[in-house]
Amino acid sequence: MEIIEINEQNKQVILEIFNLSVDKENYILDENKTRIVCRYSKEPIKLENLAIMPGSEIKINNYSYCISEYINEFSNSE
Amino acid sequence: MDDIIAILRSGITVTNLKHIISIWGKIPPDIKDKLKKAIREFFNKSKMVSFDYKNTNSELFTIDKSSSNFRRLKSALISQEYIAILRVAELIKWLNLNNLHNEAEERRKEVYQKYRQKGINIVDMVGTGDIGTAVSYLDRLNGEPAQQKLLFNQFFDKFVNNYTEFCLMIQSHMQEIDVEKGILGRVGRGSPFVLVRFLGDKKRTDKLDSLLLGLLEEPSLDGYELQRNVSKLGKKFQYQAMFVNPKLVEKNE
Repeated sequence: MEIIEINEQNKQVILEIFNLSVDKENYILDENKTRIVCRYSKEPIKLENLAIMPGSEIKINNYSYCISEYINEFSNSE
Repeated sequence: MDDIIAILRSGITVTNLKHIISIWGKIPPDIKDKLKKAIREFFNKSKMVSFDYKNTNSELFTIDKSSSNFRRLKSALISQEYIAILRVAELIKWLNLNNLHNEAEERRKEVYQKYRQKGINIVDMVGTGDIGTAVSYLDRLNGEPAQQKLLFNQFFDKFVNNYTEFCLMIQSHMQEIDVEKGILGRVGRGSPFVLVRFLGDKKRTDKLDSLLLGLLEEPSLDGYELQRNVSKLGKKFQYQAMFVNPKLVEKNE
C-alpha cells in the first residue's frame, strides 16, 4: 500500500477533488455539509487526521488502530 | 492546457499529480471535472491519501507478511479486535527498534484511548517478546483444529486480561527465594499461567532455569506445565518461561 501524503498547501485541492470541505473548527464535511464520522474511532474527522482509503474512498481518522481495523475489514492479504 | 489534456490521455501518476495540483487554480472547470474523476480513480487503485505526516503508518500494511508471530495469531484468533491491536503493537515495536520513540509513544496513547489496559497489555506483550510465549502455547495444543482454536482463544483472553498481574520480571538483584515467592504467590492466586522473564548472563539464566524446573515438583504447582525459551540479545540472554495449567485455562470464570 502506498501512502500519498498531502502537504499543507495542497490540502484544499485534494478536498475539492473528493468533494469535501471543512467547517470553522476544521472538521471534514461531506457534500451535504455534514461532519464525517470515522467508522472505527467513532469521532468526527479533523482535517489534519483525514485519511482516504483506496477502493472505497472511505474517510477515516489516521490513527494507527483505525488503519489496522480497516485492514481487518478490507484487506485480502491472506 | 495541452499538458493537462495529455495527462488525461496518458493517465495520472504521482509526478504529474504534483503538477496538476500546482496549477489547479488555473484549470478550467470542465477539465477540472475530468481530472477529478481521473485522480479519484488513481487513488482508488491502491493509494491511501493521508493528511498528516505519519508515513510510518504504511508499515501497518506490511506486518501481515513480515511478522510470523502475527500471522500465526491472525489465523488462530477469533477476535478481530485483538488482531487489530496486535498489528499496531507490531508497528510500535518496529518504531522503537528504529529509534522513533516519540511516534511509538503517540501510537501507544492512541491504543490506550481506544482499547484501554487490554490494548496496552498487548503492546507490551509484543514489545517484550512475551507474545512468542503465547504462540508457543498454540504449538503445544493437540486435538481437532476447531477444539484447538477454542482452547487457544480461551487462553489468549486470560493471557491478555491478566498479563500484568501474572508476569514476573526477574531483576538481577533478586534472590532465588524472591523468584520462588513471586511464582508461588501468583499460582496461589489461581492464575492459569505465570510468565517469567529475565535478561542477563548465561550463568544466571541457567541457574534460573534449574530453579524453575525444580519448582515443578512443588505440590502447589500440580497440574502446571513449564514451557521455556532462551534467546540471545546481543551479549545477553533473554529467558522467557511460562508455567501454565491447561485445566485452569479451560475453566470458565
